[in-house]
Amino acid sequence: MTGPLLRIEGLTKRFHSGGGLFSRERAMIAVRDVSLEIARGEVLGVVGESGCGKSTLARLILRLIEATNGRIVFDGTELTALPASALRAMRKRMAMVFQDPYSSLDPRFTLARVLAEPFRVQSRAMPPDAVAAMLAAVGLPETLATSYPHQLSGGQRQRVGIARALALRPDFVVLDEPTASLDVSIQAQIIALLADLRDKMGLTYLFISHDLGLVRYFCDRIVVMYLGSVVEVLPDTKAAPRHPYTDALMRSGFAPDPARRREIAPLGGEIPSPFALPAGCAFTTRCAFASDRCRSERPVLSQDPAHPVACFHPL
Amino acid sequence: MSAWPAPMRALRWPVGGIAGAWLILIVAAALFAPVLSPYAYDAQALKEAYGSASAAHWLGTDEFGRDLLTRLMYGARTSLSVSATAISLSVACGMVLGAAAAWFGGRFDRAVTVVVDLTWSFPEILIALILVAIIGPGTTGTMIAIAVAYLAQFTRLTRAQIMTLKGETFVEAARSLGAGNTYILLRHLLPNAFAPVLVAAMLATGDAIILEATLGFFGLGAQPPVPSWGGMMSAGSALVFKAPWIIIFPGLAVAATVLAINLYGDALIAELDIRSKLRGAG
Repeated sequence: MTGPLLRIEGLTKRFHSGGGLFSRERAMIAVRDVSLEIARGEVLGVVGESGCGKSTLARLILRLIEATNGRIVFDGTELTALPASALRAMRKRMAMVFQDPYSSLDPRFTLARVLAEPFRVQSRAMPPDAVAAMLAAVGLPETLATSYPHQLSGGQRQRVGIARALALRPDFVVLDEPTASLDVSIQAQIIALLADLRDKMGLTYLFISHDLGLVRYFCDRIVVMYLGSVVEVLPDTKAAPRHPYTDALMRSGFAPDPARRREIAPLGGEIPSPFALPAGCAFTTRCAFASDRCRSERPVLSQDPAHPVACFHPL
Repeated sequence: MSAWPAPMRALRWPVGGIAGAWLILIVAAALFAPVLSPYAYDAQALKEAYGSASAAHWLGTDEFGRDLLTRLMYGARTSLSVSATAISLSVACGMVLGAAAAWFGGRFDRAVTVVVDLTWSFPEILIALILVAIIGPGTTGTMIAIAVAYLAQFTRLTRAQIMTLKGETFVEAARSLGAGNTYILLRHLLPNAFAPVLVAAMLATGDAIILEATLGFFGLGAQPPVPSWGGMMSAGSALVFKAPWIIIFPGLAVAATVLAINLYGDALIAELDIRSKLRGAG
């Protein structure tokens, strides 16, 4: 069992809107030509602003939406070529934790039913004490089994979401901003829980977030996306940014330590409409280093395996 | 949240309780009419015709001397059973159509939507009249006519519900676990769409009682001598000045029952907290 657990090649998703009686059809590229590898046991972070395509990328990888182009290879099996029934069977090896813990649980399901669902849809017998064990694994009391989601706090619901994702002991879990809707104090608990479960179960994570600080704390490698494209892959959490966008992202964060508090550098310029991307680098409208070449030619991700960056003027 | 189901909790509202009590009374009267009623509904006593309220006939008698209270109870039987059966039929078909339209989308959805919007733009009474004219008068004809007249409403409401629910994260979560279409539709979408449809069905039953009475008034409903509230009012309309009770009591029965359904429905909507969801019904 060597090689990456997951490899994606040239993944592209184009969305169409309009085209009815009353509007002209427009196309936007949500994810453009993304290639990545995730090693077994790795935590790969994906950061970017809202609308940069990171959640779309997550759904493409799990084939919750179909890609326009590209290949996804999971542990030697090409997901993009799998027929529906084989894909459904494959789903027990991959799972997803969703951003919004309020809508990710059916309001009419008790927690016991929520946690039994993975077994049920995969036609697997559920061990009699499984619900209690799953609740315990995410730090919830067994007595909650008969509760409904509305009786739980956001943090508790997200724990249920995690327990459901891990019910069938998957190898690979996509975490789509699992802490973005939670209070800061709860965020830390959830991240600690996710780290603990990864160690215990040998999981591989794709961790999506807009919080670069959080990603730097939790992930091994970090993919930076801007308007659907990967602009940089940071090989480790301490690597200095080479793309001006990553640099700007890092410098626009707030430092909690007042002694280290400094001038923050908000990004200027406008984000271009995803329906009308510039011909060259998508970041030119906001970049201090943009040259004529940047405006006319699109930089591709360099093949430098140590630290790939898609920029003509890397830092 | 209390342990009582919402329909019981709605009875604790002052207005909901009174309305609910009236409905229970009317349903009981309809169900047990043969046991409770003092006379047979077609027992004529021409000597006692046009009698006003008395100890023997609490609500008086009609032009054939038949006991009005008895006929009112049997009339409740006709009105309630026709309306409730028609609406049940309408809900069942509407849920299947609406769910299928929302689920499959594409051309099927567009076809259903066009037909629904078309029928939606006609008053229910017009649709019902045309259908009764085609099928022929009688209880079966009225039942089918009422069912079709309200079909658009339930199709539309169910479709709107399923469309909204389809985008919920828990549906995506089920899919990510490997759930198939049938499972998602039956376990997640339809159960969540059910409560608003049920309340809309209840409110529509009130309208259906009026529609049934209207068809009965035109002589298109239950055929004599079987009593219906609409038919009784029709007979009484010619005798408004001679024996006003013949038209007044069935009229009051229709008004009170429809009002009670609406008031109880309001309490139920408040208890279930689904006011916003019902907007899909227009």
